[in-house]
Amino acid sequence: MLAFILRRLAGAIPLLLVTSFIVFSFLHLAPGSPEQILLGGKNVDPETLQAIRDRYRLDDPFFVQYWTWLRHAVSGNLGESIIFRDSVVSVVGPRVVPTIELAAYALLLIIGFGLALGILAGIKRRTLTDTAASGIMLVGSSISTYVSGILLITVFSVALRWFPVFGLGNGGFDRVYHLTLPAIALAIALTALVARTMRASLGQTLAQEYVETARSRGFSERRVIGKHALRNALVPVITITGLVFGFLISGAVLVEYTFGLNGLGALLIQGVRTKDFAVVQAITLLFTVAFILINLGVDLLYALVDPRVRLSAKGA
Amino acid sequence: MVAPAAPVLYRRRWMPLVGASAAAPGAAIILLLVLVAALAPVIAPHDPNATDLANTLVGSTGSHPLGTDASGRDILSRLIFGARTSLLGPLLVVALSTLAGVPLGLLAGYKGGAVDGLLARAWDVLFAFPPLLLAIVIVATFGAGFWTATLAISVIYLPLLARVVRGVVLVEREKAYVDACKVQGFGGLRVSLQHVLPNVAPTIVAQATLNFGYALLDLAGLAFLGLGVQPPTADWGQMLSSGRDTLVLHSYYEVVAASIAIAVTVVAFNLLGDALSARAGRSR
Repeated sequence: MLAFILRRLAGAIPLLLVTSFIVFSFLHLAPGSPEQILLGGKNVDPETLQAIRDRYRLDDPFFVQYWTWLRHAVSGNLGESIIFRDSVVSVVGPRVVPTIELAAYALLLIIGFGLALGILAGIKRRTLTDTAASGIMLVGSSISTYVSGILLITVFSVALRWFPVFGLGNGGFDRVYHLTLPAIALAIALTALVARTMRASLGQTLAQEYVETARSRGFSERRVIGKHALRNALVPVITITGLVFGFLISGAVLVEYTFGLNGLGALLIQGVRTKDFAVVQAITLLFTVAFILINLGVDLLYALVDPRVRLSAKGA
Repeated sequence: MVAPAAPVLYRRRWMPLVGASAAAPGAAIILLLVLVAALAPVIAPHDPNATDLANTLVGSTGSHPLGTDASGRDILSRLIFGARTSLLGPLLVVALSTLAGVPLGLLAGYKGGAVDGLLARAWDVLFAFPPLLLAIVIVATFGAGFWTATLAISVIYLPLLARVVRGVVLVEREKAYVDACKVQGFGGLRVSLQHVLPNVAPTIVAQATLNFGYALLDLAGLAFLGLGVQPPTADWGQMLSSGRDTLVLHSYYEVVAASIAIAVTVVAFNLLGDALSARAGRSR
């Protein structure tokens, strides 16, 4: 197991380097000179310009620039925001919490409702319940976070006035209340994805021989499914966890923007619109690193649950 | 009794849900939408960009069945003309990702070895970014607009399609007919293009159909964020964005109309795509 963990870690490091290199090189790919991009097209005095050139080592070769940038980034220095006139870390830092709260709330809904709906449809295959659940899944996976978000605002915030329209509220219970509609909007499509996977996986598991054996031994259906089938059927669901997190991050950007929540996603869009390049770069780097680490964690969890994975991965 | 072989992941994920009979309504809706987009100047009751500041945010009337927006533009006409940009974007994404993804997937699957390994690494890097995030950074770098957004979303869909193609080609190249072709002395290019490609085509078409729906969501999402199609061009994502701003004034028409247009279109492509992939799965 230790060898497996080390191998996976060794695989993640080049990926982190290459992706951070891509994020960095966008600065040079953008039309216009790097210092212009960093200044968001603003005119500044020569001293400030020279400070930027020194800060980013723009007189050095490309790889030296990248290495300097990476070293600064790792030590928590991500440059200056041209819009907020403050260090990127102090601009981005406070925005992390609302995004994590939103994602955690949505994840809770996704796991709860996704598994329940999938199991229900998987057990009651080819019945009215299955058809209804499958219909809900199809529509759910076809509705993106921002569409469901706007419709939720229209119905529950504006028309019925049950929920606030915008904002995060003041901590504690008020925060949960404010995050409820955004979390639902973020969760709908992914709940459908988890439910579809669970349904398909349970269907395959229930067709296995050992399930027949358990049934033939006279075990109750509850015991066959609950004790034998469900645990194995959950394995494919773990494989899509990485996919779920990827969409959770992308979806959070759209949901935060839709509901006017001051998280990382809303800040990213604000950064893109105001050409605050350092902020855009920092948030992209943060999301990508988080995503790679989550995928690494999922891989390890998967290997823990299913020994075949870590054994077969030896050859690969 | 032998346990059934575990199907490939791509097929399991897009399990047929409502059966092949769902292909017909899906295709019918898509056909209707294409007609609406093509005939937009004929069927739209008004110029989609004609503002009328004396009649802003009016509800349903005889002349404006879906009312007007904040600039007094006819919402129904904008919805009809919006079908053009909203469908053209995903069409380009699917065309670009197919043109680049199919050859690369064929190459990786059929050749295997170092080429396959190299491409797999490249896809790993692209998949290491959260899906929409890469597109947002590309737009941030090269400037917002229809073309940047379309190219950025294509970059996301290219590896998705290439991986699916590689997966089916891997299965296909082990089949007897491929050996038969090789024995006859056909070159790799001829075998893969003339014999393997037609056999994997149904899977490619099914995946491209599903991708169309998702690309539409992504592009409308970028437009909604203000990073895709720019105003005043009529576009469904753009309409959601401007409609959101007038929600607090209790004018729902624009938001609801655009939401329904997007949702119905994506459901139609999903229905057709699911049915096509079920058919592609059965035929092999």
